[in-house]
Amino acid sequence: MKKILGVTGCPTGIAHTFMAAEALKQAAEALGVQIKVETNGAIGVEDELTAQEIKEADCIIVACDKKVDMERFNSRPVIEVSVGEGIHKAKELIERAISGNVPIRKGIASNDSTNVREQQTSFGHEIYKHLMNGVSHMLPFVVAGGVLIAISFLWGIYSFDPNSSQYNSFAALLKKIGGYSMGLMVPVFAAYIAQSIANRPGLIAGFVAGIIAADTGSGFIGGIIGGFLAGYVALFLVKSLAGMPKQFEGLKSIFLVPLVSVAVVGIVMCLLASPVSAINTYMNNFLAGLQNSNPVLLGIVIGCMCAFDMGGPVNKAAYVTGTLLLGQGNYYFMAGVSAACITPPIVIAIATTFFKNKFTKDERAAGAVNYILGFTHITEGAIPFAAKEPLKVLPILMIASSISAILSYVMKIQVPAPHGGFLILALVDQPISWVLCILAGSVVGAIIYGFIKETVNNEA
Amino acid sequence: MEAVLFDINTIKLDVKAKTKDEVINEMIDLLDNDHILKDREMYKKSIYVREEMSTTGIGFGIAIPHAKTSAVNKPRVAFGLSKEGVDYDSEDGERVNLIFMIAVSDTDNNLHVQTLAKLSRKLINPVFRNNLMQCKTKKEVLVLLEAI
Repeated sequence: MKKILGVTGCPTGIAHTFMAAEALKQAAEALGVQIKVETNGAIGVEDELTAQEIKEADCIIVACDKKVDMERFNSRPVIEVSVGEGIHKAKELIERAISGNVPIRKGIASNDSTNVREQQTSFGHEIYKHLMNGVSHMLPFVVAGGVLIAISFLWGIYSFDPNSSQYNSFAALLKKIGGYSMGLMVPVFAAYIAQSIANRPGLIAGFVAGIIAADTGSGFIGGIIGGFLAGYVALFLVKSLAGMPKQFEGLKSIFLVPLVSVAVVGIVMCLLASPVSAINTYMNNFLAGLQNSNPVLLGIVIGCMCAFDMGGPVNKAAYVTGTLLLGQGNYYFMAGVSAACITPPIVIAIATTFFKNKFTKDERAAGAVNYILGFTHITEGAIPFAAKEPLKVLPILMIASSISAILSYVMKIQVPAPHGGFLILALVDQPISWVLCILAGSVVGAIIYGFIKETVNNEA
Repeated sequence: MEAVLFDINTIKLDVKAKTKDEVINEMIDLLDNDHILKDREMYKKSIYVREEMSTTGIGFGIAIPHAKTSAVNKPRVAFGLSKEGVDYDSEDGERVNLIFMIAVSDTDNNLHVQTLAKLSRKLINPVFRNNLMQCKTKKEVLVLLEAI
């Protein structure tokens, strides 16, 4: 089966782009051709073509009225037309594409798709994307490990210690496994930041940098520094070796790039270890100290951080600090973080339940799901609501989360598990108070939300 | 969860206009009467700026004049049906029966853009276009549009 690719785009990016994409897809389907279409619309680039796909495609149809990156198609068969032709002449275009008579685009083939992406999006967004790539790969390790450790506590907090009366060999085993999983947190985080920047070459130096950060106590900050360092060093190496003859490709990718990047990044990380671990220790101590000296201030900080981007890097910074402190035996801190993370979806759920006239039917259905999301510590459930009116909803969620976190800190509740929401209530030392703290914040948030939100017309 | 983009007040089944300029005016009236526009003249100018780049009469009897500008209060897509057809300077030279005038504010979030993307994909489908052409009441149009 023939494989072709399409790229569509128009100046405003809200209509033609998607019509052309759809037209090409339908025409391809009718002719029995496999197709993938990248849309360059107002939302940004969707279904972006990968270097691999471009390499394998029989032809690339570019139907654009705006500038898109063409360099990546060098030395490939390319048809360039207006977006209008993409809509109207979709069938003819596909037929031409599979005819085999398409001229090859001149220029040197580029293997470097990361380079392409960098030019298209802003620097800040890039940094965010790399960070989130690290966070999203890291989280499952934290959740699996953290919950295993928490379960081991069911036999008692010292059940892992052979010298303690609580000792249970199965609990000790669970805690050990959980510990291994948690131990991979920083290495995986650093590795996937680097992977996001430089693909596979970055992964290698990223893992090593992450292990060094974890081992030398420079923790999360070390992981961030290591990940970005590894990513950009690898990217730089790949680019500067791009001129090498093709025969040396294998040598380059399995020998030169890993060797040099690991050496350079490793040396820098080891040199940075002691100052960065000092900063990391200071930060952890500062946060832990704040919890005793000023629980209200800490509650506000944590509440605002957790609700600010709901699952984004700011939220995760608070969350990860909580998990690190858990590792050091501080269970108070996590209680507030969990409370603040659980609150936003509950705010939404309560608001949609009690202010029916302010929400559409779809929104109420989505609101009900937020009960489940909230109970299981999935802050992200509130995002669709916040995305609609961020300036109104985010401050409300931040207030609500802050209240929940403050109450949790003032009442000195301890939560020993990093995730699981109300599923881990059995592990919480004051489960009822903790639930009440969360409900208090959520109800306040829901009432404010309900009063501020405009009534919607449900008849339409 | 879909962003609400259509409203019965901005649906018109008996578009009077015969020319491109007339139909743009008529559709802007529709939006303006429902208080969608902060600044009518500014919006109109943006519409023409877009038309000058290339006509939004994309063929199949459809025109989608659109503008993303601060002159818009809240996002809306007005729909007009013309049985006789309008001379819209279309790419395929045919007359236009279905007019979607899109108003999006420049600070708008992606939800609306995604809805527009879906609408655009849908318009390629001849069955969907035909169903729209056959609508007898505004309510029917609204039901069709909201189902995308």
